[in-house]
Amino acid sequence: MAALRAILNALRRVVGRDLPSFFKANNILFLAALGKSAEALFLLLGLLVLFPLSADPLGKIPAVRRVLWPLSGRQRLALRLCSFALSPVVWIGVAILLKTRRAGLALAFCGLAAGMQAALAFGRRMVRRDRHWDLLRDIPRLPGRLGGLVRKDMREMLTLLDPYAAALLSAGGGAYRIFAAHPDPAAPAILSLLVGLALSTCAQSLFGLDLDSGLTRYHLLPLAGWEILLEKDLAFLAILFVLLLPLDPWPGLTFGLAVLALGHHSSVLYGLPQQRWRFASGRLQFGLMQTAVGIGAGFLEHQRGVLVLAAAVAGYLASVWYYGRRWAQAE
Amino acid sequence: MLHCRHVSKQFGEFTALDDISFELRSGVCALLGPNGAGKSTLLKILAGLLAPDRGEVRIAGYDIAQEPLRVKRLIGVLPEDQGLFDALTIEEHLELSGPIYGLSRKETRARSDALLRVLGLESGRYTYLDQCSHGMRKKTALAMALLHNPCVLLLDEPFEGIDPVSSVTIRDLLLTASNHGIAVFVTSHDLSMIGQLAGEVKMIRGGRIVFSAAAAELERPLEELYFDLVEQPAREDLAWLRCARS
Repeated sequence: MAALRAILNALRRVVGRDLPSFFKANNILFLAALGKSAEALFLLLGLLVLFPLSADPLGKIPAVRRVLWPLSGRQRLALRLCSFALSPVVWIGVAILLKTRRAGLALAFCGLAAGMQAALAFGRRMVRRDRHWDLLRDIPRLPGRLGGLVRKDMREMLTLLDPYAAALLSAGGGAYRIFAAHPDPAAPAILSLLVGLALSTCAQSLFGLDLDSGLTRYHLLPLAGWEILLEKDLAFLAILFVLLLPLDPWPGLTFGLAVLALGHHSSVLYGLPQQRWRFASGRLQFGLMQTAVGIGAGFLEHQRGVLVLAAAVAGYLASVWYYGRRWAQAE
Repeated sequence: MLHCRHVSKQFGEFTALDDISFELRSGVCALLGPNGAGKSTLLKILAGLLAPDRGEVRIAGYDIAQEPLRVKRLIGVLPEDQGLFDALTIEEHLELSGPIYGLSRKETRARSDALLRVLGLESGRYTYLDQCSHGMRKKTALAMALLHNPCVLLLDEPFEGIDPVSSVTIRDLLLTASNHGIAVFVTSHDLSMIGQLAGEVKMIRGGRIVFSAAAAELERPLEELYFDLVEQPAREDLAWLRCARS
């Protein structure tokens, strides 16, 4: 019993430490300012978060350690059953049950989470069997000296949930444009800004997924600071551009250049770490600035045209030059 | 090839390196010392990853603080944390590295194939780094250090976590490199391997070099010297460490 309690205590601590990684400052949360009209959007985001949130809590203990611990069959079964109580999905299921008094709804929610995990497990198994199932592997190596690094950064970025939220917005916007009887002519520009907003937190922490080891390599490579920032930004802009294609790309790209120019500050000077399969986590003050400047620049581009985009490019290049020097000075 | 003059480094109150000076013209120089003695800090300073508080480092005549990009093209480094990206496979690390050092795609491919074959990484070339064993990671980092044919190799613990066959392969590779004029600076705990590899041995303790000699001139076995000059193995009987059934 003491052994089981010790393991469950450790597990509770690990789950407790992991939970805040789901609720960090992300620019997409500013959409809450839209009030009721953002509810459907947040529901979609919740669905995305459910993928990592529904992971087996027992999976946080290394499998080898679990096998090595001298536990009896009965103790292992008890550990398995008790671990379910540490799953946030079960807590949400219970909350749904208490609020709606509909056991079917709570069970359906838990079933959805279990289905997601089954799909992920199936995907992982297929990847183990045949590496061609790993879609991130198929990102082509771009030409040029920095091509390999750009591919690496695109892969890293696609292990965050932000691009998938942006993809949902892009697909929804594209569908609206095609299928709506009388689409609002301003909608593609506004939606392209929303797509940019969904991605913009990633621009606050361009080195967030490289870990210390990756940062060491960046410092060892014979590349100037501006080259490193440029290749990071190219990866961001390439993903943004693809997502903007069904909409109006230019306001979105202007937004992207503005948030990158501002994001260099926190990327180079603060090094905010990121976690795979979570939404990117930034700082509120940087996010507010990115959102305000980005939306302002995007709207201006929509109204005044290409001159604003050119100004955004100039501002962006100045930022690359300045923070490239700061990067080179950093140890 | 490598000049290190009066290099000192403090971390707060802790003196990591205290007035280190040496020169390495060619051959293999090994730096031995216990954990926390300052080996990795010195290697980071030589590689330009860390700026010294005092002193200067020159590689092939270039000051690393003044001309970092020129120096980075001349050195190959196996850093303490290996400097690898989890999102890339072993092969992709080499594909990424070659063009940055000015190699053509064809040349990068040819050299990568040879390095993967020699280091026994061929079967794992498509494996992501976060799925690799410690030894595979280390060998990948070593391959990256060698790929662009550097003038100076700076290697932090190249034999740590490596299987015996690969250790011998790496030893021979480094000996060949040094015979071809590449200066090799290694830190290590593996005294037997260093005994077979190094032409010059230095020992560091508390941030100071306490011993420096050509390997051929050592009068006593390396292990004996190390225990005398650097640290003695701790010998304590843990009374509770015995089989309860005996």
